[in-house]
Amino acid sequence: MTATLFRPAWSDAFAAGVLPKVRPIPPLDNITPEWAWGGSTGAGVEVAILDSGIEANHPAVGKVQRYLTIHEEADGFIYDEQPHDDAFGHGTACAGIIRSIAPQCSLTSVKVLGPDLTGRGAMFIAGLRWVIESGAQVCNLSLSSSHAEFFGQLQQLTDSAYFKHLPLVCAPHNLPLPSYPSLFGVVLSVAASEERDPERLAYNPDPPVEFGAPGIDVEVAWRNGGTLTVTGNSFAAPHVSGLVARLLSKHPGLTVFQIKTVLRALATNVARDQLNGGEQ
Amino acid sequence: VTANDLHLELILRTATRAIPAPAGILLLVDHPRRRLNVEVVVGDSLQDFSNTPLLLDEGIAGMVALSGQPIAVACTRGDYAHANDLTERIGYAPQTILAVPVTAANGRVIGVLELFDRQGPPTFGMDDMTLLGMFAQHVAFTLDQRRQESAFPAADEKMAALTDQLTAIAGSSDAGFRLCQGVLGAVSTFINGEGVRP
Repeated sequence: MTATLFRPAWSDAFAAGVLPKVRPIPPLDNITPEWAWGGSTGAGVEVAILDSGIEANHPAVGKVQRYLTIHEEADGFIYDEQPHDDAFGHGTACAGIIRSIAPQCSLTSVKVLGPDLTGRGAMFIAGLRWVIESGAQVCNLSLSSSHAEFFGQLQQLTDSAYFKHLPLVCAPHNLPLPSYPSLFGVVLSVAASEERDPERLAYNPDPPVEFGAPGIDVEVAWRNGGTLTVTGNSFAAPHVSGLVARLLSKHPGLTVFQIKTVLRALATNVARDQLNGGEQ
Repeated sequence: VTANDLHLELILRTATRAIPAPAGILLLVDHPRRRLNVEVVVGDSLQDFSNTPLLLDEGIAGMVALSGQPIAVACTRGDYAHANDLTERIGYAPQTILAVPVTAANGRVIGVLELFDRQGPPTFGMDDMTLLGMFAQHVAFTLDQRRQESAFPAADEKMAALTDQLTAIAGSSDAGFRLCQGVLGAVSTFINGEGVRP
C-alpha cells in the first residue's frame, strides 16, 4: 500500500479552508468578469459535447444544432450525423449546464457512450479527432479514459487541439488515478467545488487540476425531460465550458493559454487585496 | 465460497459502515453479454435483487461502468426512475445514490460499487466519493487476486496432463526419454523464475 492512494481527490483542493490564496498579477487586474463575459450569451460559438448524447428539446437544453454518432463497422468507423437521443442523461446534464450559462451557444452532440456503443477508448478518440477537425470552438469532455494504451494518442490529439486554439474542458476522475486527457497540461482540467455561483471559479496553483467550479449537489437536466441533483467532477467542467463559450463570443480568437490566463485572473482565490502595495 | 468472495462482502459491509448507508451493491461487468452481474448485496432492501443481472446500458450503474466516472445522485423530487432502474425494479426507491467504478490495473472498468440512502448528511458528498473509490480499489485488488487463483488450478490441470503425455512418450524409447527430460528441464527452469534461454 503506498501513500499515494490516500492523497486527496482532485476536488479536495478546492474545499473550504484548503484552497490557498494566489498572488495577483497587477497588469491583469483590468480583466473583470464584465470585460470577460459580461453581456455575452455565447452566441456564435459552437460547443461540442463528447458524451452519452443529448436529449434534444429538453426544457433545460433546447435545440441541438449538430449531432454525430460513431458506429464501428468491420471496415472502420461510420460517422452518422442523424439526430440521436441520450443513452443515460449524462450528456443532457452537461448540455443543460452549458446552456444555462451560455444560452445562445450552438451545441454539437458527439455520442461516444450508449447502448449500441461500448464507450471504448477507440470510439472516444475517434470522436475527439472529429471534433478537432469539425470547427467547434469549445469541447466539453466530462468523460476520460484510464487506459494506458490510449495515453499516447490522446496526448497527440490534445496537442493538436491546443495548436488549433480549441480549448478542451475536461473532468478528471475523482480519485488521483490516471485519467486522460484530463490530467494533461494543455487542457482545462476542472474539479467540483462547493461554489454555488455558476460564474465563480477557483484556481488551484498545484496542478494537474487547475480550476474548480460548481459540481456538488447541482441540479441538472436528465433523461425524459427530468432533473436530478448530482455531485461529480463531470458537472463542474460544463460550467467552465459555458463561461469559455461566453468569453470567446465576446473575444473571438483567444488562444487556449490566453483563456487560461483570463480564468486564472478572475479566480475567486486571487488575493486582490495585495494588488496595491501588498506583498507580491 | 472462497476467502476472496468473503473479502468482497467484507469490503462492501465495511463501506456501508464507514459511509453510513443501509444498502450497497457490487456489480461486475460482463462485457461479452453486455450486462452487470450482481456479485455482493448488503441490506435487506436489495436481497430480492441478488440474482438479477442489469443491462450495461441501464441506469446510474451502467453509466458509471461505461463512462468510468463516479457520480452521486440525490433524487429529491421522486425522480429515481431516471436514475436507477435497478432499484425501481424491486420496488426500492433510494433517495440518494453513490456509484464509483471498480477499475483494473490496466484501466478497464470491471465493476461498479454503489451505496444507497446516505444516513446523516442529506446527500453523499465528495469525501464519500473519494472514500468509496478507495474501497473500489480494494475490490479491484481482490478481484485480480481471485482471477489469478482461479487461473492457477487450470494451469495445474494442464501441467498434469502434459506430464502424463510426456511420461508416455518417455517410456516409448530412449530418444523419447531424452526429449522429455529436456522439455521437463526447460519447464522447470521457467517455473522457477529463471526464464527460458535459447
